Amino acid sequence: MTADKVDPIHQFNIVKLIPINIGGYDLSFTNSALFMVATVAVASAFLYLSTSSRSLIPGRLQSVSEMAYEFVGNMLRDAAGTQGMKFFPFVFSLFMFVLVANLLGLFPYFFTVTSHIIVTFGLAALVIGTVVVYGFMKHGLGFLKLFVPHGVPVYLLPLVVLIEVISFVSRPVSLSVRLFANMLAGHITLKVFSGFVVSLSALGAVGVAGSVLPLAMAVALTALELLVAFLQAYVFAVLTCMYLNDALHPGH
Amino acid sequence: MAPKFRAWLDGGRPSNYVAGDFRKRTDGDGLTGQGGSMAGKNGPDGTGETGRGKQHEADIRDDDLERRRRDLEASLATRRPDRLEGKDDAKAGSVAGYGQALKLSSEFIAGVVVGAGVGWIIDRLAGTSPWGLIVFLLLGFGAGVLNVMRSAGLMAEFGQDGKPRDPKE
Repeated sequence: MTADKVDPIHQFNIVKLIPINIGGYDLSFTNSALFMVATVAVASAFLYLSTSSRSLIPGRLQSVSEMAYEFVGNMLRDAAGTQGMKFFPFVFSLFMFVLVANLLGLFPYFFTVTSHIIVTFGLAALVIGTVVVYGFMKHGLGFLKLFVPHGVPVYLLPLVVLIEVISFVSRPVSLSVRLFANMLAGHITLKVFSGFVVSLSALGAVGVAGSVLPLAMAVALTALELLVAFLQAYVFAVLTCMYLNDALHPGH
Repeated sequence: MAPKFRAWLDGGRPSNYVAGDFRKRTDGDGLTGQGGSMAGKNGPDGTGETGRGKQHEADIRDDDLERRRRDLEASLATRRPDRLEGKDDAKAGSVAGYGQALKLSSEFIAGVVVGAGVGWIIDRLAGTSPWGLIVFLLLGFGAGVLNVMRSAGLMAEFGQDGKPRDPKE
């Protein structure tokens, strides 16, 4: 019990809820999987219920989902042009998944799916895989023009192309690390400050008075985390749009 | 090129072209060749040349203006995405700096990590340790700097050559 309070990492432990073993692979249904299912269920249920009335003058919930649609739609159109709108379902799903997963993680005792790098890297790999597959499908080998900047002297070209390739490969890494690091750091900070409140208030009257400071900090951090949850979903979606733009127009 | 040269021979000095354009605009009918010729007739005539030369000159001026307008639109179209993005960043308000710092640092670290990873894998496969790691760590450093400059908007995007983006594409 006390170990829970002291250890700020404990909240990220993966617990097997239903052990499943198929062919030597551990495919257990974990708490992470449970919250992914919950994320999808909450996002789908919200969008379905809020748009089910489909009135001409939107109510509160309907205008929220319409705003989400407009937001992602404009983002995609700005970054990748009208042609990029064929990727709208993909980008919108990613945005809603990351956003709802981040927001669900803010509830006490809830598991934050996006605080595990394997989840965020999976999402980023999905994005970059789409970019590469679609780029080669649409432009063939012309997609490789992406790595050859114009106006570079020939003798520098091998070096520059190598650097550009590394830069391209580092995109999914930075995309996933950014989301994961933000969520992880935020939740650890929150846990540490809340831990201060508990351990200080155990020290008697002076401690209780002193614990007001970390409590105020925890409240402020919760507000900041709410902002970060939204901002990171936004950043993830914007960068996805920009990468898709490269697949649509390599070399412009 | 030739008609332009002839127009120049006809009279109007190049410096007067600009002034003529402005005058045409203030007249309020600077739309087509017709408006241009009317302005040529009505406007104060500093050079004292004949009307025919003026009209010819106005046609050419309109062609030139049209071409320049198209160039301007094209160059604006290339800049537009960047500016919109900047506006969205500004919307984030007070945390923009915090977000920017995290973004830039993660871009740089990702470049170095990927470079080192590629070098390590090459060393493992080809047995060239430690040269692959050394070379690719340096290249990864370069890629990290490239990433940072690119995401700070100081550098052209992937494969961009400054040409306007085709709006239909």
